[in-house]
Amino acid sequence: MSARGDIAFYAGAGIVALIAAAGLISFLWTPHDPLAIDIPNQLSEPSLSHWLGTDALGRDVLSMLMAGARISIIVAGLAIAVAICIGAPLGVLAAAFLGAADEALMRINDVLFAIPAIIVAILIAAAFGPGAYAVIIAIGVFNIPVFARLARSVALPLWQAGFSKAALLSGKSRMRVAFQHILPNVAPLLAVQATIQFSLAVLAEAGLSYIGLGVQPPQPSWGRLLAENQTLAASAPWLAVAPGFTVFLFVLGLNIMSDGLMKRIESPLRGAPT
Amino acid sequence: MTARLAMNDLRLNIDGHEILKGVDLTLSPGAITGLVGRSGSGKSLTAYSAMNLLPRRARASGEILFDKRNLLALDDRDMSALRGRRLSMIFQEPMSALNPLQPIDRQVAEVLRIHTGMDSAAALDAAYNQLERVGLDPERVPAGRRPDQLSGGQRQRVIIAMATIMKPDVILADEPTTALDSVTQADVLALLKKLVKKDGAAMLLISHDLGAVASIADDIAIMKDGRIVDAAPTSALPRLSGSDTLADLIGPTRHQNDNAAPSPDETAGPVLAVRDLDCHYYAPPQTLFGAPKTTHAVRGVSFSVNRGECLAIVGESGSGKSTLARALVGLDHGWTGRIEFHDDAINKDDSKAWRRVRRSMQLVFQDPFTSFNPRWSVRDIVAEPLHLLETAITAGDRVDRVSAALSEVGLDPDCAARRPGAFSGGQRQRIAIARALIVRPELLILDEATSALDIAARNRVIDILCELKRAYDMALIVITHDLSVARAMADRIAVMQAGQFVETGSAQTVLSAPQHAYTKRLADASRVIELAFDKLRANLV
Repeated sequence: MSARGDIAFYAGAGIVALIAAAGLISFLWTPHDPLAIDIPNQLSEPSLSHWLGTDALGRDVLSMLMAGARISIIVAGLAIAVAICIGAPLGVLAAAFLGAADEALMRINDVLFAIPAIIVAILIAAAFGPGAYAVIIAIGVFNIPVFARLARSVALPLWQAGFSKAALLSGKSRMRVAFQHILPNVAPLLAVQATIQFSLAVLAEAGLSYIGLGVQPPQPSWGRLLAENQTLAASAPWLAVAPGFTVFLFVLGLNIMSDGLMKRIESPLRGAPT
Repeated sequence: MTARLAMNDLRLNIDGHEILKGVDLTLSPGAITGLVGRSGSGKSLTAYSAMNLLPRRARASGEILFDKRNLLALDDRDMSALRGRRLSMIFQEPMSALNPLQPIDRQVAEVLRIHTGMDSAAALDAAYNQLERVGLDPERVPAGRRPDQLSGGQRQRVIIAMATIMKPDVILADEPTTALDSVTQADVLALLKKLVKKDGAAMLLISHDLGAVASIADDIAIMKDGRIVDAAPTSALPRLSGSDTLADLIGPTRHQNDNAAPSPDETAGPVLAVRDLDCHYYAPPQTLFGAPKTTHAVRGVSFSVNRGECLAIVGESGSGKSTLARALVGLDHGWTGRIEFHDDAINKDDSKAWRRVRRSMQLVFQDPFTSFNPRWSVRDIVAEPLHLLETAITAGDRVDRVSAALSEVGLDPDCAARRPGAFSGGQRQRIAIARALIVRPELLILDEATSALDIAARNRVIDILCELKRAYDMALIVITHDLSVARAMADRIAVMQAGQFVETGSAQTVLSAPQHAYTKRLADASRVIELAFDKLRANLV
C-alpha cells in the first residue's frame, strides 16, 4: 500500500526479472557456447570477447552463468511449487478440521521438518543417481512443513471471521469453505513466504550441487560453477566471484521483493497483524 | 475562563489529502468537552495531534497552545516530558493498551516511577490508592490480577487509573466507552465525570455516540469532514436546530415502536421453540496437568418466537447471548436440551436436517468488517446462501434475486459488482441483511447487528428490519446489550444474566416496570443516556 513498499517491490522484482531474463535468453543465445571447450584460451581474464573471463577449460563464464541461471531458477521454482501445492492444502485442511486430523497432519509435518534436506538428497541420489530431480524433491520435501504451518496459522483466525461462519450457514461443507473462502485469503501471505523460500532454495540448490548431489557436469548451474572454481580462487578470482555475486544479487532481489509484497497485502481481518 | 489547551486553525495533511481543515477548540479546566462526529470525520486525529502521535506522513499546521507553548513545534524529547505527566490519553480498546503479562498494580505504579522517580514500594502504595479511587475495590478485584482476569469495564478503569494518576492538566479520551456494554458504559462515564470535577483536569471526550457525550459533557463540539461545524454548551445545543450534522447524528426516526402487544398468528404455532437449552464448552486447563474445565455459558433457557414477532434477548457481554445464537443456528454443537423448528425437534448431529432448517433461519453477525470475504463481489456475497436451495437456479434468476434483496435493504442494485471494502459500516450491515434475506427466511437472528454502527446508521438498519418483519411476517430474534435497540424493535424482551433468563415479558412490561434487580440496573444505565439524547431530539425540529 505504501509508496515505500511499492518502490521495494519494483526494485526487487526488477533485479529478479533481469537475472531470469538472462536465463531465458540463454535458451536462444549466449555470447559463446557454454559447453565449448577452448583450451588455448583457458583462464583468460575478463576482456571484451569474454566479459567475465574463461575457466580452466576455456569455457566462457558469462555464458555458463546465463545457462546456469535457468537450471538454478527452474530447480528452485519447481521445488517451491511442489512444497506449496502439497503444504498449503495440508495446512488449510488441518485448520478446517482441527482435532485428530490436525494433530496427525501437523505431527507428520514435524517429522518432515526434522529431516535435513541434505540427507534426503543423499538418499535419493544414492537410490536413483544424482541429478536435478533429486535436488527438487529434497528441497521440496523440506519446504512442505514451512507452507503447511504458515497456511494453518493464517487460516485459524479466518475461521472465526463472520464470512466463514456465514458460508457454513449457507450449507457449505467445511471442505468447501476451506477452499472457497479460506485458501484465497491465505494465498497472499503464502506468496510472500514463497519468495523468501525461493531465495533459500536457490542457495540450497547451489549448496547441493556444490557437493555433487545436484545437476551433473557438463550441465552448468550456479552451485557447480562455485564448486569447480573455488580451487582457482587465488589465481583467477573472477571465476568464483562471478557466480557467487550472481547468487547474492538474485537472493537479495527476491528478499527486497518479498518485503515490498508484504507491505502491499491487506489483511482480511481488520487489525490483524500481517 | 482561561483555556488549558487551545487549538487554533489546526490543519492536518496526509499525502496531499487535507484531513483537518482548520479546527478551533478550547478545553477548560474542570470541564468536559465532547467531540462528536461520524466515523472518519477527523475526531481521533484531532486528539492525536495534541499528543503529537501522528502518522509519520502527516503534516500539521496551525497551533495547539498548552502552557504558553505550541505543542506542534515541540520536539519529541520535550513532548515526552509532557505526555503521561501533563497530557494523558484514554483509548477505546483497553486490552491492547495494557501489558497482558503484568499485574495491574505494577502497571499503574510504573507510570509513577517513570514520571517521578519514586521508589517501587511507594509507587505500589500509591497505585493501590489510585485503583481504589477508580472503583476497583481491592476486596473484589485484587490488585495483583493480570488484565486477562478482568472484565472490559474493569480494564478500562485500570487505563483510567494510569491516565489520571499524575493528575494531568489535559485528558484526551478517544471513544473510552464504545467497547463496553450499556451498564458498564454508564458507570465509566460517571467515573470520568467525577475525576474531572475533583482534579480539575480539562477533558476532551471523543465519541460517535451523542447520547453518551451529552450525558456528561459540559460543552459539545460537532465535527464533520475535518471541521467543527457546531459548538455550544450541552444545554444550548438543541437550539442549533439549523445544523444538518446534528440531525444526521441523531438520525432519522421514521420508525416508532409503540411496543403494543403484537398480534402474531399464534394458531400457527411458534416458528422456533427452545426448551431447557444448556450450552457448555471446555476451557483449557489452568495448570499444566490440570483437567479441562467445563463452562456452562447458557443454562436452562426456554423460549419461543412466533411469526411476525420480534424477541429481544438483552444482556451484558459475557452473559451467554452469542453462545445461544450460535447454538440456535447450529454453529455450535455443545448443547443439550431441545430446539424445535415448527414443532420438529432438531437432531443436532443430522447435517441434512440443519440444511433444511437453515433455509428458513439465518443469522446476521456483529462485526460488519469481517463478515464478508474481502475478495468477493457483493453479488457473490449476497447470493451465497442460495447454495441452500435444493434445485440450482439460473444465472439470470440469481442476479434478479440479488438485485431484489439489495433493493429491499435500500441499496442500489448497481453496486453489486463492487467489493465490500467500498462500503461504510452501516451499508455493510445492510448487505449482511440482504444476504440473510435472499433465502426468504422465516426467522432472522441478529447478533449485536447494530452495535458497531453510529446512531444514524443504526436507526436506518432498525427501520429496514422492522419494515421487512412486517412485509414478510418474519420472526426476529434480536440479541443486544443495548436496551434502546430492544425498545425500538422488540415485542417481547428476555433479559439474560450469567447464562439464564432472569426476566421475560412483553417489551412494555419489562421496560416500564422491570422486576429483576439486573433489569433495573440495565434500565437505569440506559435511561441516563437516553434522557440526554431524547432531550436533544425533542428540542430539535
